[in-house]
Amino acid sequence: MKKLVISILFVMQVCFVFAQTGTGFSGKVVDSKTQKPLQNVVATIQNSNLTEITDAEGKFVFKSVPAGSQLLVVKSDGYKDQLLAIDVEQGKILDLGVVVLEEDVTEEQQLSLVTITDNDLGDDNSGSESTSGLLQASRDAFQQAAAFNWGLARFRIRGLDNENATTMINGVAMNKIYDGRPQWGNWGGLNDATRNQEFTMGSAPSDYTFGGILGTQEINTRASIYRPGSRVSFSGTNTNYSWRTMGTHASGMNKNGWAFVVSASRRWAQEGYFEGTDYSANSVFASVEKKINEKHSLNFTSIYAENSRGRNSPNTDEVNRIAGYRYNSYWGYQDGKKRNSRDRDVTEPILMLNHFWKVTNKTNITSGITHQFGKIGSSRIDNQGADNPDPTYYRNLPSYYTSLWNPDDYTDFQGDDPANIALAADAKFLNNRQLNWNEMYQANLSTADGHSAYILYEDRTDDKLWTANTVINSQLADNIVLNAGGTFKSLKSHNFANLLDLLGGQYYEDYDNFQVGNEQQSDLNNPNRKVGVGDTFAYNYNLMATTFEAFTQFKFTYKKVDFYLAQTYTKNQYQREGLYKNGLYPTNSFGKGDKISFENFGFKGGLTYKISGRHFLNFNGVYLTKAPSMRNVFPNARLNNNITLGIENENISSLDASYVIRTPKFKSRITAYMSSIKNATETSFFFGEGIFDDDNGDGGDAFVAETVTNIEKRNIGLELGMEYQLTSTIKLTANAAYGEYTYNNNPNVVLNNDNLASPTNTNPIIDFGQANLKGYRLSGGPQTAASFGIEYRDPKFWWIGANANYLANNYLDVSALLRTQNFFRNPLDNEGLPFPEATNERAKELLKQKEFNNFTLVNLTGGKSWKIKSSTFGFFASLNNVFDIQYKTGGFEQARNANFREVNQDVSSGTPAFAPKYFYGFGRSYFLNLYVNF
Amino acid sequence: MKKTILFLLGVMVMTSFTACSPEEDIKNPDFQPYKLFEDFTSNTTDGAVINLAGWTNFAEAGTVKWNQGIYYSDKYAEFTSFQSGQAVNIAWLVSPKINVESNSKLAFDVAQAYVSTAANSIELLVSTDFDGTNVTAANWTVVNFTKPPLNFDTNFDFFSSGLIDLSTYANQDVYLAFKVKGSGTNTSLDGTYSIDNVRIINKN
Repeated sequence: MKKLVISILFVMQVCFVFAQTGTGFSGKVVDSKTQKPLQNVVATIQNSNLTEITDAEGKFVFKSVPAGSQLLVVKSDGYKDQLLAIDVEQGKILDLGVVVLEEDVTEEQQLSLVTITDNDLGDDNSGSESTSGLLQASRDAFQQAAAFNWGLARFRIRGLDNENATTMINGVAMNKIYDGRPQWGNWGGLNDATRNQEFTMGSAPSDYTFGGILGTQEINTRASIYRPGSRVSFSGTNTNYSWRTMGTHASGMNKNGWAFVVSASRRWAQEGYFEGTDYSANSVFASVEKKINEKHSLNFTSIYAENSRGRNSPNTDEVNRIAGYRYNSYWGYQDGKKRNSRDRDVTEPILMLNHFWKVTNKTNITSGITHQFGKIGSSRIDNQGADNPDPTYYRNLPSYYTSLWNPDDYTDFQGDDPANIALAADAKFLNNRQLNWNEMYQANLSTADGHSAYILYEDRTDDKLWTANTVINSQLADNIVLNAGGTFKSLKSHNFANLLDLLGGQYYEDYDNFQVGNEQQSDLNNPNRKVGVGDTFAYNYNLMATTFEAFTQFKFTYKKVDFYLAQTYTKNQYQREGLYKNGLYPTNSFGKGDKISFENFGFKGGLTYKISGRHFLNFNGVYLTKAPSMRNVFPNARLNNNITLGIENENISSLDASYVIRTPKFKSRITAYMSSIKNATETSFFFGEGIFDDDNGDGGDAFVAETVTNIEKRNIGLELGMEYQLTSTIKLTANAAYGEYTYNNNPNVVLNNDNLASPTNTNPIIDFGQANLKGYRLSGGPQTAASFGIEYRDPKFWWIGANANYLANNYLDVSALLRTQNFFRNPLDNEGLPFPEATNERAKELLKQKEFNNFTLVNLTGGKSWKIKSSTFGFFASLNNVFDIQYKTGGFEQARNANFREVNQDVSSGTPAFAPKYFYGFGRSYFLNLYVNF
Repeated sequence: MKKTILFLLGVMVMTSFTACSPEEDIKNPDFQPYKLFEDFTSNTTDGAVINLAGWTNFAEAGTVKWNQGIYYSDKYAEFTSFQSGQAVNIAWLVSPKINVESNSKLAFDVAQAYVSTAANSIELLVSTDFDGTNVTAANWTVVNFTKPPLNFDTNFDFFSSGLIDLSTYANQDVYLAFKVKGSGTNTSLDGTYSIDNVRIINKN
């Protein structure tokens, strides 16, 4: 009976082969090492919707392919893509034979790449973090260099901020509405689970969204596309954290139509690279798919990533000279343990339900409903009526004494008086470098009524976000593809201060001790509150946003030319709802404020001219307008409903041209680009001295919110990436980036001074006019980078690589206020006339933008893998910054000295008290990952 | 060959970038240095006669001239006819020669103490033909400025003269003079005047 069945099947099989009609081709995919067939490999015909997946025998077949030359892409994660040029003949199914896939080592690198997170510059508590470039690189050689080699130096591709890039999960954009940036920490520690990614660069077309000017990253978590199997890894490093374990299992689609993927990881460190930076992160991922029928499939994805880390401080050169470059002022000893006062806790789970609908062979519609909730908290110490506990508070440093000038005689330098030199030698910081928790507890215990003079609190942002979206992908004709989609988002962001620890006191009094009378109250509806742990205080408000976005895109493919056109429309509406009636702004802080709407549109297009199968030219251009972020629309959101005066949509445009070569041995791309962002806005908060007139003897000092509007930024440059396979085992890479990222106009500066708020002045802003920023470089990473690398791949499955990288032209962020007319204005002059000692030459010296030192980093990488039965064991190791170069990655001018005299005196002293603060990169660091796939 | 072309293209484009440096576009905020700035920091002795290089200190009537004023860290020029013993005291403090431009502005701080009548006056005068020595021989024109309030509550408090437009003297060399009139014998005319921070600057 069995034999009969088998022989019938055999005959049927043969008949089936003969009976196969149609136009197309078939093939079998195997692993280059083992020669075993690979299942779940994705084969796609480029520039079309046609996709097939290999079965358990590694086989795939395409039966209705347009005749003519087609490009077949065969990919599977963990393997290098295979590109095959095929001539399809009408009425025939061509047998391609065996398609061999080679293991991709860089995949290992990607899975091992440690998330690099910038610290918040200054004191802003935006929810997202600005990480360096892309976390995981695409196959493009230049982008790989940018991510792996230059990422640690905070290199940003094209000098653009991450708000210009779109990061999506299953077609849903994950950029935060508050500041436009993706919050990668939301899926941190889930490298395995998020390994299925698609990238586009610049404004090149994406299948899922219109995007911006820094490309798109789409993370696909559909359970059935993961190659079945399990993976466990264990890593050690000395960067952000010390240890990581991760485990992942993908089931593949079973015969009942179910597929699932689960992954979990833990990262932790008692102390990371910088002092006192503790780290603890747990992540869990689950994706479940049910194939309802051939046309419909449902997938549910849940992502939970909680991350708690102690941050490190930017420091002045003086502090780093005294305490070392790993110094961190945010921690102190408590009961023998290091306790960091500035913790950042992020827990924002994501739940996503996707529906995949294969409407016809040529049309797919993917829809989704997503809910994200959770919290972000940034902790810090508050001191009320007590000394500032910061060990690096300027009065604790030697420079305080050696930079003193006679307040009554601006020509009289007192920093060199023997008395001051003696005081400097005894400065508090020299022997008390860290936070003194004990001193704070003591202060709290000795207040007369038991209230806390010091507390630990956190600035919280608790978001609730609903997203509904749909993406259509349709092959309209043989050579025309339509992409279209729409997304609707609704956000309620609750922001408030949350008391964490009374530090030994009984309660905390909720009032602002820098104000008087009613103006002290944070909530006039509940005045004179005494608050305790877990209470909300100081400020409390909601930000609501609804956004709608739609796009359409047409892609045309011809023999010599491919081109595309796309357009988009977006509408954003924002509103603030105050939950406290603030004493400084009693009439415009409580309740719902005005709604403000922004409508925007965008167009883009581009073409690829195929000089030959191996050489092509690529052009892209885009023009779009973009709504300002909520953060810039509400400049003083903690205290009032005010909207930034005259805020407008940003105008963004970009052009790029590339020449690409792809031959088996040599791959290269050179790109020239230019992008322009107009009408941008930046906000910052600081305490400034000498800003206003000295009306009440305070020298014109105040704590202010600075809003700079109408900023125009221009980023132009070149990118060059080259990859040359010297021999079958040795590969050489060379990459270079040259950029000029500058301010291209003189934007406007407005300062908000809460001290001037009154019933008749509910928007106490002062216009400082134009800031002469034109020509200054934008800050944020090296504008020039070059790398040379060599990699050896031994046939016995081990490999090593080395690369040397040169990074240069990184500039310090400049203060806009210092470059307004106010710089010369003497606050003691009754007519606001300039300082008598000011000269143009000296001003030019004082205002000159600081450039960071150039430096060279050398990295080594290597790995080996073994196959035992059907499992693979292996390790990946990297040693970064082999020569332990100390380099600064970023920093900012302290705007405290806000005029010529203050800056001149401080700088002339030789030991400035308000010098810029800097962040450093990691010195010599390692990463070792041990893994097993089975 | 193709690689060479690529390389050359790259170099050409890169040199075109470096040719124009954005740093050349950087300008300071608008600033003009002072044409005249006198804050009397060279005062050494309170009450001593002012003897400043370039300035002329002249007593037209009586013998009292402008004196150095020092009060803690404040330094200024001061005139008082109080207890001078003379019936009429008139004193001039004349500035060095200044070349005025069309947008030149003058400002100074002025204080009074115990001045009870307008006749006990301070005036600002300008001359284009002062020869540097003979004050009374030159032609002087009165220029208005905001006088300090005659109020005992604000004795010795400095007030701004306001921003005085000197455009009528554009492109000429001028001298400024501060002329005070008082009396040592008439007690309603024996108040004190002080001036400080005499400054001329081009300002639009």
